[in-house]
Amino acid sequence: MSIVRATAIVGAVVMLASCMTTRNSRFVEIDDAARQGNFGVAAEQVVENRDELYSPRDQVLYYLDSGMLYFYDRQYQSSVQQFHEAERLIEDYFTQSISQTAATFLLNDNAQNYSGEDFEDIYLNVFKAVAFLQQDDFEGAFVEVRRVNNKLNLLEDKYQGLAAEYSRSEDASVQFTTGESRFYNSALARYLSLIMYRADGDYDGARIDWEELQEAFARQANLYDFPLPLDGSVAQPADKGARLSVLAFTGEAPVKRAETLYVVTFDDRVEIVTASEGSAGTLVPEGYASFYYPGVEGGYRFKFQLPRMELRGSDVQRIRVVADGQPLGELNLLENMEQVALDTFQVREPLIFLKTVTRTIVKGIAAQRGKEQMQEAGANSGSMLGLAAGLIGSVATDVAVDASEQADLRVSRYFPAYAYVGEWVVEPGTRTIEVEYYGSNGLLRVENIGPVDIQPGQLNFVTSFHNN
Amino acid sequence: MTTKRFALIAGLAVTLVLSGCMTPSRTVQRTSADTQTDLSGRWNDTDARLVAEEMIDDMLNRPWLQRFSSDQQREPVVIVGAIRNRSSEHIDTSMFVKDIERELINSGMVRFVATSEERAQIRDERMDQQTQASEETISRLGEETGADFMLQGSISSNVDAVEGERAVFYQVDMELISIETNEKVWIGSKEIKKIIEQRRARF
Repeated sequence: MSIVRATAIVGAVVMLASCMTTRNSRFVEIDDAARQGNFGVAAEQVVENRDELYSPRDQVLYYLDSGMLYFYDRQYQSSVQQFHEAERLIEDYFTQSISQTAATFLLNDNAQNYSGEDFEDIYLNVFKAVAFLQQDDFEGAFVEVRRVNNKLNLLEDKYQGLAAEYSRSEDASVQFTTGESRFYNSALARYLSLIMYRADGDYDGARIDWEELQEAFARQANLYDFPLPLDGSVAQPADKGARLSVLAFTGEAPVKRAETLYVVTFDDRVEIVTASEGSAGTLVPEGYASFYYPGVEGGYRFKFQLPRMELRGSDVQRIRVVADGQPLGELNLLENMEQVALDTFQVREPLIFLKTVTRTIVKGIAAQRGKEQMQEAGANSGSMLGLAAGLIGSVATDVAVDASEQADLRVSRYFPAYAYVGEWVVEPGTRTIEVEYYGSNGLLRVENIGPVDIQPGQLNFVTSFHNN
Repeated sequence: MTTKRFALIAGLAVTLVLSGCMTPSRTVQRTSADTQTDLSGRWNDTDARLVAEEMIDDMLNRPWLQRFSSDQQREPVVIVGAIRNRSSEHIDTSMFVKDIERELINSGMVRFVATSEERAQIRDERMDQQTQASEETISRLGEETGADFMLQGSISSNVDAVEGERAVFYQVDMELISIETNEKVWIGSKEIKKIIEQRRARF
């Protein structure tokens, strides 16, 4: 093969890579609107462009994203409705389609219904509960808290059981702890449950949640690598005064970006092009390598595309709560929600890698066989037209195989990154509460919650968020 | 021959695909309201009906009713209080409470007065009548019927689940409490248990 032809092929690969965009590119405007605090606009765009943004297999994401944007926009009823639909679909998709699973081995993982990650299934109930509380529907919120507890119990049985089984087996050379494997207990969900039981006067229920909350920190040290922000008094009635509970959310959930590797073979030579996804969802060619590899047969082309999780974090470094103009104190980290998402992704990563590599190699080899046959048929035809048809067929095969190999970048993108908590015992009465968000350069924003009637034995719950 | 066979298979495939396309994606079939339907495994109208039937039957056949009627020489007047949802599902308790109310009123053995929410609207209307309605049609103030008993209750649920299978146990408890003496004159309970299985795979 001539140097010119090889250069042309590699050049075509680079051009093709630079033209490609991922599903993230469709969300650039919506992400910007949300980042500027225009949640209503962002929610409207998601709902209006549902068909362009989400395939029929991504409907769980549609409901999660719109539910969260409605929540930030304080449209709590709409938020609850969307989360309700997400939850229903997640339940339905527990039953997986065999034909869709088969398609993931031929095409890519996007061929399967997105059935939601465990953390998404838990968090949707957490935000539903908060949305009910914002609508003064304590009973509705309690239903959600009970649902979270049922789900967490199920996860605990599932993953703790797996870890115990593995550790007992003879093959277990190292002790396998659940903490290293999967997210199965959420301090955030347990805290919300705790304050609900406490407000209901069920201190036994509150104590159980306090124990579960401590266990979440103790047994999932990889997810909770920061000090426990509360103490045992939270499960007890306040001796004097009334207890004020503040929960604040900051930052943006992580997104998945595509990392692409093209491998093109020539006789005795291998060319590699790498492309990384930029913030606008466009693939940017990054690296090129060419090396002599004796014995390699020319004409093969492989496109490997794998997802990588990118944390978006938060600008907020500390949060202070002010009551009637006087500082009450700072909030402390309760849950690193982005770490939970990352951990969940990392558990699946080796499997995704193995599946992608296997699929790509099988497709690459099959495509090469097909191209050879097309070119042979074209050459045998003896006409220029036949020859051209063979060549066009080969190029079309490469393009089709490239297009079919797409990383599964699906994940909900509007959950927050962090949850902070603070509790104070204050004199009963109506107080004006403000939540101040500080970044590295000082005050970022003050959210004025307004007057809050704080009474003994009541929930006295305030929630706030800053999504940058 | 091979070509013919191929054509036959292709024809069959196309027919199947087309017939699949022609089938409507949704069908509606009317059915009687008391048909037992269990689709998702969640609390549904059948559960509400079973609870109402059990509660009515139990309430009307207990000694409190006979005792009150012979003591007071009239039917007891009941008001519906809070029916709390302590389950893990959003359940509209008003569905079976209305069933209970209706059946008890129709039995002629118990009278019901409006709940506190209903009363507020009626009182507004009555106040309005004092200035707007004619003398002959006006509803008088201070003539409300006071209730003798309040019906209170709760629905709780317990879920035991493993992947793909869950057992849900509902318990509906209702109590009739004397407003004057705080005495509980009747306690009814109905339990419902469901096993819900979900397959891991489908074609």
